Amino acid sequence: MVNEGRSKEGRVLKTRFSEKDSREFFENEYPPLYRYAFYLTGEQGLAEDICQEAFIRWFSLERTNEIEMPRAWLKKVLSRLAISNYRHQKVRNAVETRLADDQIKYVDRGFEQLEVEDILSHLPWRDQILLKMKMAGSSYQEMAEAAGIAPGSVGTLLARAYKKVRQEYSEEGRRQTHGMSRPGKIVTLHG
Amino acid sequence: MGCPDQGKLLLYMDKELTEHEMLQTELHLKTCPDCRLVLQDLHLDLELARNLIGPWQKQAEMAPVPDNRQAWDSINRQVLVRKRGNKYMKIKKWAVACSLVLAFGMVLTVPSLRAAAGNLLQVFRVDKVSSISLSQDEMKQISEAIKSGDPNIDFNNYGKFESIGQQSSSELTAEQVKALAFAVKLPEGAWDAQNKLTLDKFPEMRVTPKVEKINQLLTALGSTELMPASLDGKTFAIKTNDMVTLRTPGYILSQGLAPTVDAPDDVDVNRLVQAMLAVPIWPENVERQMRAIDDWQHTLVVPGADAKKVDINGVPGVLSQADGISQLVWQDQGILFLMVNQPGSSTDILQAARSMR
Repeated sequence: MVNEGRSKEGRVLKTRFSEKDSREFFENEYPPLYRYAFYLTGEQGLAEDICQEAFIRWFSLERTNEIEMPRAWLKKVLSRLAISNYRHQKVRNAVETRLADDQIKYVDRGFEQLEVEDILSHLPWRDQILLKMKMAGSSYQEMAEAAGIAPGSVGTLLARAYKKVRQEYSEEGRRQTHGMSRPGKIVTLHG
Repeated sequence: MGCPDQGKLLLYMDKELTEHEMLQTELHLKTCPDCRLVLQDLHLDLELARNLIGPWQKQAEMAPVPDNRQAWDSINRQVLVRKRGNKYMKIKKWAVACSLVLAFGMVLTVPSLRAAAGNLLQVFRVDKVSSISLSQDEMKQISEAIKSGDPNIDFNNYGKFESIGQQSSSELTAEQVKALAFAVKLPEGAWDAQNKLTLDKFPEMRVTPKVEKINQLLTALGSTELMPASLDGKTFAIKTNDMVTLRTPGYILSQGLAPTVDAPDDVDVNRLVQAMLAVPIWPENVERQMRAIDDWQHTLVVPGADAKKVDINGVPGVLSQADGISQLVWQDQGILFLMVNQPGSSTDILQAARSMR
């Protein structure tokens, strides 16, 4: 953090709260928000990006004191960002499948994440996020807002997602019994 | 009622339906074994999803949080840039208000060579730029001093402000640029790039003071000098000529024939200057700078924090700063030049200005 910048920024942020308060708020709220972003997207880089954007939107608000639950507000914005990122995700997947094997490295990820991503990767990106939101206890209203759809449509999307998960789960079971390798989608790009 | 689709059954399962729909679905389920099966399946699906995603959720909750210093820097920088953008707009508005007041100041002076009697108007053309450097504190002092005379100051009480015509901007073709009344000058490199020039037109500003109201304020402020009653209802017109503007990622450059002010001929403007300077609202430093301007009617006064005089290839200009944004104003052979950094850009506009040809 550059000192000179800080004093200026402090002055700019003072209309809402002081530099110290802003930093404190950021330090308190960053870890839970980042973890939620990581949970939803499964990718560190993407999680960091959307987290940062959510905070930028927060600090750009004229009157933050009118927002009763800042953490809920941040999560709401973040979910929306995570879903609207699906186009980017589609592009990435397309690039990944085109790349040669030696350009792709398997990443050290936890078993749970691999398992879940394997199965969820067959769902549209939006449905993956909605499913994870639902599992994290989000209301239908929150999911509808994040996806920009009617709350009634959330049920249809979720029901479809459940079915797909079940179907993929049994297929995954069959693949593993027959000694097939995991699909190549659980990879990430390096370099 | 026909069989509800899975989406609706899921809403039922999650108790997200209206009371009436809940009841309806419940009744239907009692009579429809197929739907009961679907619902049972949904319960299993939910259970499976929970079993799959639950552990990942727990793992993510414990995930190491990456270093967020860079994020904080970036957030600050971006919020700051946006805020700067707003602030810049405010400064611009403020500058417009000040220009009005100061343009007023320009016409408040007795022209040393009064045009022939019978002239309806005196036309002043800017041929110099000068600066008044005032700090935030001094600005605050002035505004507080004015508020002591009128706590809810509203400019409309003190005069009629009109703008005639519309502001517009249109792209210029190379032929149109050549056909302009003056030769456009651009910084080195700007000619080569595929930069588009626009022609910006500005409305004419007309100011008609309400002398009685102004004098009430001046009296309230403790001024002994008042504005002459003869000025009441007289209109001053500030004409900004068409400006040619170049926008690059680093800066915005505008140039055009210098603005003029048309003032009524039959007023003793000298008294106005004295009246303005006599109002005890000016911090000493500001008053001294204002008194040092000896040729108000031909000088465009640029107020700004940290304003300083600079030399642009032998022509004097004013460079001022506002929260990291530099603004450069100068006048050369009847053409007024304004150059402003784009928010967040570090382009050295003084250097760019010096490279203009």
